[in-house]
Amino acid sequence: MSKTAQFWLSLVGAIAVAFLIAYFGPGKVEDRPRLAIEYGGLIMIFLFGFIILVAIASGEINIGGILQEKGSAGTSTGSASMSRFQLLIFTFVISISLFLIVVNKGAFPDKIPPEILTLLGISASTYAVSKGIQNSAGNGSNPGGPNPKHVPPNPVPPNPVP
Amino acid sequence: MSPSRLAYWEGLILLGGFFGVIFWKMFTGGISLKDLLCGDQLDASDPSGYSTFVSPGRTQLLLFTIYVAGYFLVQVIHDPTEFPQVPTSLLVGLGGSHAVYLGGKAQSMLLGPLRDLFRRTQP
Repeated sequence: MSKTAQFWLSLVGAIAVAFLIAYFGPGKVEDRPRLAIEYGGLIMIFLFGFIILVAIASGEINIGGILQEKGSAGTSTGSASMSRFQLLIFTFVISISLFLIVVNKGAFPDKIPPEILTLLGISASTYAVSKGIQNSAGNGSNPGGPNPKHVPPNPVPPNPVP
Repeated sequence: MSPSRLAYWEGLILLGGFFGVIFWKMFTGGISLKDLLCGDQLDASDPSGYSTFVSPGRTQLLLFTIYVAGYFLVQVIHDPTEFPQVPTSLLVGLGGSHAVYLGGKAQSMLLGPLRDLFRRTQP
């Protein structure tokens, strides 16, 4: 069976299971359609996330270069990028915080403070500007040899012809 | 299991799974952190035109990032019902740290080391 068929089969199966849980579970009859939609949506979203998670863990989706700097030609320079690393850390921290708040409060926060948005803005802007500098300068350490766009001018003047 | 309980467990599994996979790959070398604190600089003596050096700008940015992220997480863990108030001074400091990093990167990659710059500008 192909992977696409497996995916659709598991999706339809999960939604069917959700409907069965909602239909045969406790609660009033008039609440069952709402419960079925809620359970179906939750299981579907979880499946999408879980498929991506399994693909990353198994290496089918390669995230090995997620922190590597890219050169102007789109090739990796091989070194880790500090701007990508700090963006990753701040994204983790804000997402963990949002999850904790939603779990403890039982609802989405009423207001996102502007300081949080500023924090994320600084972090994301740094990544964008850093990428711009990297592209302007060529591909950094350039493991494939000299970059013709950015070879510095020869400091030694040519010998004068006697 | 109520839908809200199911959503809680799903969120926990997915978030924990994503963080776990990324940290696991970082520790095992699947995601390389090689040369995280090293920057490239324009270098006329290197055949490729660039050389690598330990960058103070990257080091201070890493320290500042860890400090701000740790401060934020501790505040949220103390009161997990709302986003914490981040002091303006901390934001200004973080902005300054990022500006230093970007300025240093632009200078080293576009102009090269300052000593070479002064040498080039001298007659």
